[in-house]
Amino acid sequence: MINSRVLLSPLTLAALGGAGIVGAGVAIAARALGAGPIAVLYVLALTLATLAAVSSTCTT
Amino acid sequence: MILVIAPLVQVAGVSRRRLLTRIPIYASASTISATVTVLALGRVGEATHLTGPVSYAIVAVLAGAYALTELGGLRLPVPSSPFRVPRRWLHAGNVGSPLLYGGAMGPGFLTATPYPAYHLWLLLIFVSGDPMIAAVTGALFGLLRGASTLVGALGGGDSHPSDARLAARVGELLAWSPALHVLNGVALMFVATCLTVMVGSR
Repeated sequence: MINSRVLLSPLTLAALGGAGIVGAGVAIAARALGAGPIAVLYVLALTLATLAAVSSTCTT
Repeated sequence: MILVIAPLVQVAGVSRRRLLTRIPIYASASTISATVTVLALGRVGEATHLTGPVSYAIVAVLAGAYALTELGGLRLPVPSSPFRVPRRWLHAGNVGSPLLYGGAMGPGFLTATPYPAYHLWLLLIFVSGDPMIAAVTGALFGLLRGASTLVGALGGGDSHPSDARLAARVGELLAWSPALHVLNGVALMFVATCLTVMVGSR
């Protein structure tokens, strides 16, 4: 279990950086492949919807 | 949400056979209500014509800010409903009860939502102005919310679990909360940079 007071640890900061790199990579790859903004929005919306649904299960 | 859902499938007197009726009804109601609600939001977004780089940039900034909030670096409010599902819904029958629960809880905004991924998702749906994205992701969200009933159902192990056993199961799930906040933060950073690069390269 992760202590909420130490969430901003080097590991989580590295994860944030990694997520940023992947996010930028997805946008660049979509453009290189000729995909429009809608394709990127699909990826982002599916990611957020999945995470929101899974997270909501673990609430009171 | 698990405290709300668990009684639906673990209420005393619900047999295995009735459980197998309740879960699909709940999941279907949840999926349909979420799809319809989010589709309506997408339609409103389409009508307002807010789609464009400025809107995406605003979502990107908010996603970045909430990513830091999730990791404790910032303090931003996360809107959440104080609504409580009426206890009497538990006794609305083998079909009525899961229908009421699924219909009300499917879209998500009527119950506690302490994770900002939900809000950013709805905002993204709104500014995208694309009903198809709204329908597809709304259905996915509702289905996954419905599937959470399985967690409650399987957690008890039988149809007459003790309160202590149920409380232990809820405690196990809630222990994942800090990890989920980190995961939300990482995912929101992914969204923020992806949108930023997308807007910047147009």
